[in-house]
Amino acid sequence: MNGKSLTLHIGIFVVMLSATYLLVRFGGLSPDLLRAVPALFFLYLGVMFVFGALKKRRTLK
Amino acid sequence: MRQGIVFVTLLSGLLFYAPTAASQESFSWGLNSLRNAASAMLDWFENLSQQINEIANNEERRRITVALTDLSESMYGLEQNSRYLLEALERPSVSEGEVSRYISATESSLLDVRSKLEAVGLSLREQYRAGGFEAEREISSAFGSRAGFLYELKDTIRSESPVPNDLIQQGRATLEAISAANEELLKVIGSLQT
Repeated sequence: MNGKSLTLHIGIFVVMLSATYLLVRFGGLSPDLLRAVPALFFLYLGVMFVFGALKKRRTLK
Repeated sequence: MRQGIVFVTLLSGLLFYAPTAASQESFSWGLNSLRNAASAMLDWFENLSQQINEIANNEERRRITVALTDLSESMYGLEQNSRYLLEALERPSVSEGEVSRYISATESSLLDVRSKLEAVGLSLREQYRAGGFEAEREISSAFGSRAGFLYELKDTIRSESPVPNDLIQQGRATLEAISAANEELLKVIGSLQT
């Protein structure tokens, strides 16, 4: 993961967290949704990692 | 699918048998760095979860406080309407229409309190550290006795007999109970806000 993509992922996380917070605070959604954000972000990172690895493998082939 | 199985088999083989191979040192160094990276990620994840949990808890507390403040306002309305009704009953010359108006206002306040208590009762009971359990019990009890008083009063008025003094005393007692329950509720709200 290079510096550019790290910034991108952190940016996505910040946007995801802020949007969820706003939805919970003003949209009346359950605060449990906010608790699920770190797990969802890790899931997202895992999916990105697997896809990245597969892409790299395909390029090497 | 087949490639994936081969990949997993190779990876497990590497993990279990590679330490016996010649490149043992570099392998254990790689394994250690992987383990360190995983533990750092886990620590970061736990830290993040704790911080976000705190935000979610604050939001839950804010919601309960708002709902309890609404309930307290309705309790205050019930208290006021009950007081007006009792004052009207104690007056020597009062029209039947005025009494029925106060009765219907008290009934509508009772319904308001009931719907809000149904919505927030469970959350209030859960705040047992802040005295929520006792407050909920007091409110329910005061609500029940106020409703009982109203039904008795309506029966008496319907039978066109004068309102007995002990019924008015009962009304005064339930009014005190409502006031005490509201004070208890305000204490719960105060302790949730600190």
